[in-house]
This record gives sequence, structure tokens and C-alpha cells, in this order.
Amino acid sequence: MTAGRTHRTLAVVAGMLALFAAVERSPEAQGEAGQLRWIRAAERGDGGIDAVEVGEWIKEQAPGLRLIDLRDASVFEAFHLPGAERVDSASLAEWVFDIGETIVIYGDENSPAAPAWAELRARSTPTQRVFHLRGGAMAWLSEVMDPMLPVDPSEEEREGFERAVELSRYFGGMPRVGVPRAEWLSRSRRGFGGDLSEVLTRMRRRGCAF
Amino acid sequence: MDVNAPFYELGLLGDDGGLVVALVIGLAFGWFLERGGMGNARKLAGQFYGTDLTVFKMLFSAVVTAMLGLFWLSRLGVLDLSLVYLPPTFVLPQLLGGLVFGVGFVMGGLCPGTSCVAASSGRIDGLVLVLGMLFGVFLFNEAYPLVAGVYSATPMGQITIPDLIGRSHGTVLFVVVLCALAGFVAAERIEVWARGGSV
Repeated sequence: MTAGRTHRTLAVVAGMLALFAAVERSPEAQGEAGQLRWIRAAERGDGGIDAVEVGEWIKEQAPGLRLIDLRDASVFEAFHLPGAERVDSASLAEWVFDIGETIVIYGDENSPAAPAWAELRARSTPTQRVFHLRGGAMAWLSEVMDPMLPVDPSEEEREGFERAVELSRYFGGMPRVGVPRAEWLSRSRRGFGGDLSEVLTRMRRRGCAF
Repeated sequence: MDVNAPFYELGLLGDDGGLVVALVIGLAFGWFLERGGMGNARKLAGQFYGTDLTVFKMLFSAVVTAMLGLFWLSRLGVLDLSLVYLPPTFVLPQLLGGLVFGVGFVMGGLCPGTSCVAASSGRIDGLVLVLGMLFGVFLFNEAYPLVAGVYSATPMGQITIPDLIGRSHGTVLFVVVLCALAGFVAAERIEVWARGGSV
């Protein structure tokens, strides 16, 4: 084969592979992580993100990830998500975030994240993604630090627990199995009861590390 | 198919194995550069006169090969792209670095890699450039406190082109490959024209 023909053959092969790459549309099935994780999350629509997914991003040290805690300084000091930074809602208008950053914003019932999320979302560019943590700070405690598997779990419940359990141990949590279904249902529907200090005390007594 | 790459990141090589593989890849890289004539400053300087665009064609071929390989290995589930290291972008210092690199390339006729190749094959100009490069490294380190501000200016993080423009990896790959193929055709014509032939 002459050099010219070899070059033409290679060019055709490269062109075909590139064309297939451009029309290929199944990153989910192919298991690509990296930047596509943000796109997958964003495509789910409402800007909300589950605590377990945020935990996975933190554990993977996802590039460009920033966690913004809108709660008061006292509760922030008591506990916050690993690596989170506290920002006052009032100063959010002047707050600057960089190209390529992904912001996960969270608060509690006193400092809801939804208005701040909407504001940041409006200011973001296509390279910046803004999410709010579903259930706020308490969801982190409930779903990551203290995941529970009820007695006689369904396949779906077991899968959800197995996803959370390794993450929970990584962050110093204490997963529980065989929890009475009534307690599990109560937690699933209403989250943690009581105020934050009571919840933290209860969890630390069980050995959770923060 | 199970993900089993990058080998080093997944612990399949270990630290010592990683060094051995780096040495083997480095030797192979140098050998192919030398066999491709990249240790010859006249050949590389032909790039700037339009008479020999081998460097352009070789580097663009490497870019296209690597992009296609990484993309399809990732899509086939062999490679976890999120574990492939991305050097962070710093706009200003990298522009300045590129400028210094380009000026040095034009003046010396060799870049850092090819100067090592030239030196190892006994070329005096390659040896002089390697010494100059090492002196530059020394100078930069000594002057670092003075330039530290510029060195870390305008950070953009580990950003990719698909991330920046909000398009898929596949689309960007397609555009780059098209540019490469068009560039190869144009390069062939420029070479003929610059050597005084008819296009």
C-alpha cells in the first residue's frame, strides 16, 4: 500500500470514529464519570440534588465543586458538610464564583436555600452549575451520617441503603440495619425530629464522627 | 467490560512499575521522534518557513489519535476518564509560557523534547539547548518569589473545552478531527507552494 493510500485510509477511519462520537448519545450506559456527572444531574431538572449524590462528589473530590452553607454561624460551627464554606444570604449578591465551578447550596428551615439557589442560577453561565441540597443540612445527617435499612426491605430500599452505607462509613457515620419500619417511615417522611443540637448529641452518642 | 484504566491510578502498576513504564514510554517517544526526523533543527525550522510542516502534522495526528482513543476507550467502559489527570488552566501564565516557548522554538529550531532527542543523537545544537533549558529552569526557580503572583494568576481550574462551551465531548472531538483533516490537506499544499511548486 502506498503512503498516500495509507494516509487516506487513516483519514477515513479517523473521520468515521469522530462522526460516530458526535452522534453517540449514551454516556449513562457507558459509565463515563468526570464532567458528565454534572450534566446528568442538571438534566434531572429542578436543581435539587440528594445528599448521597453530594457525598459521592465530595468523596471523589470532584473538580470545581464548592459547597455553600447559608445557615447561621453557630449551627455552621456545630456541624457542616465536609469542605463547606459559610456565606451570608445578604452577601450572596456580591459573591463571585468562577468558570467551571459547580455550586451546591444548602440551608435549613431558618435559612432556606431555594431563593439563593434561584438567584445564583440566574447569574450562572453555561460552564457553572448550581444545585440545592434536597432537605438541607438535616438531609446530610439523615441520609449520609445515619442511613437506615428497615426490616424486610424491598429491593429498592436495599439498593438505596447499599449506595449510602459505604459513603456513610467514609464520612464517619453509623449505618443501621433492621430498623423497625415505623421508625424508618417516620424518618423517611419527616426527617429528623427535634433541634440540631439534640440530633447531634444523639448521633455522637452512637459514635458518629463529625 | 470492566474499567481497568488508567493503570497507575487504579493501582495496577504501583509506584515502581509506574516509573518503569514512564521510562519505557519516554524512550519510545524519543525513538519515534528521532526516526521521524524531529531531532533535526533544519526540519523543525521548516515549520516556520512553510517548507516542511511535519511537526504540525505529527502533533495534530497525536492529538487526534489520543482524543479518539480516550473517547472510545471511555465509551467502551475500559477507561475511567474522571481519573485521567487534567492540568489546571491559568490563562495569563500559560500565554506567557507559550510565548517564551514559541520564541525559543523559532530561535533554537528545537523544542524541549526534540532538543533532548537531538542531544542524545550527538547534535551539538541540541546539547546547547538542553543546557539552556536547564539554566532556564534554575533561573525560574531562583526568581520564583518575584514571579509567584503571575504564576498563579487567572486560574480557571481543571476545565475542558466541552465544559467551557457547553457542548458534548463527541461534538468537540468531531470538530477537532475535521480541523485536523482539513489542516493536513492544507499543509500538503502549503509545502508544495513554499518549495516553489504549483499547488
